[in-house]
Amino acid sequence: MSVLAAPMPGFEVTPRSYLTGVGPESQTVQAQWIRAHRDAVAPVSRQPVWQRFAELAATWREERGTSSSLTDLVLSPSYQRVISLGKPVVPYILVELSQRPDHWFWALSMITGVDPIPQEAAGNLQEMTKAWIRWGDKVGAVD
Amino acid sequence: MSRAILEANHPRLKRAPYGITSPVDPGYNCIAYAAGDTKRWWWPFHGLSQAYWPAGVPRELTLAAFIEAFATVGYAPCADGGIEPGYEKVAIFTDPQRNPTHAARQVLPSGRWSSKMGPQEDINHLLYGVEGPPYGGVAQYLRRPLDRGP
Repeated sequence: MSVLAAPMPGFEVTPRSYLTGVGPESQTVQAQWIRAHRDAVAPVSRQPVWQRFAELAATWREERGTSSSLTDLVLSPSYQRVISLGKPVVPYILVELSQRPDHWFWALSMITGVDPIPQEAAGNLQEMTKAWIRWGDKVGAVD
Repeated sequence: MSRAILEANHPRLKRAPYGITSPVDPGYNCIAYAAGDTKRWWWPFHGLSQAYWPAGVPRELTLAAFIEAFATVGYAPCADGGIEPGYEKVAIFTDPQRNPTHAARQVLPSGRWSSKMGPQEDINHLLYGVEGPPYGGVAQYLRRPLDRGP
């Protein structure tokens, strides 16, 4: 257990429910304590890569709206954060691609430095997905 | 949920009649759809393999490049979006900086319009419904003979 999450005298370390019958100030203090406790136990930086990727992918799908610009799609903050996860995220992107094809190709190219998509497959989601899955199989990217 | 996304991004759709005509599909976008292609994502993206763009057309975000891209499938500029016997039409949208953002195709014989909304659904709509941010307005109408289409 980390220092932050260690028990402190006089404090409830794992609050289980909100207090009732108290004023709004007390409820605010308790809400902040619960949030601080949750962040101390599982901060974003300690999330496993798969979990961080799943959250960012979900956010990306929500925030991309109705733009047809591929540039807009790959420059969105959550997409850029996926790229910043680096090589450890590649297996999870490939699994996601195999289950739910989407425009992860730019992220894969930026992270790995390769582009296995043949020219005749440019822009074709199914064919681009197959090209990257083949690449993943070839290099053993997914266990 | 889908209507919520569409109307949040295009508030005029709350007041203008429209209908969803396909499921969500990130496999193609509005430019591809207007050009009659539902297998590829068309965009002049600087990464050569991640999006399709017709060979020989400049990969640049300009109205001229988009007109040239539609010319590869038989479209040429025309004056307006009215119904013309023997022709089908496309409307190219640009933002206030004249950057292309969207394309819609005319539905015959009604004269309404049909759009793929980015990675979301296809919709049948009035042009008014998708004008305004983020698509902007129609900057150019194109037409091609009906017997030239797929």
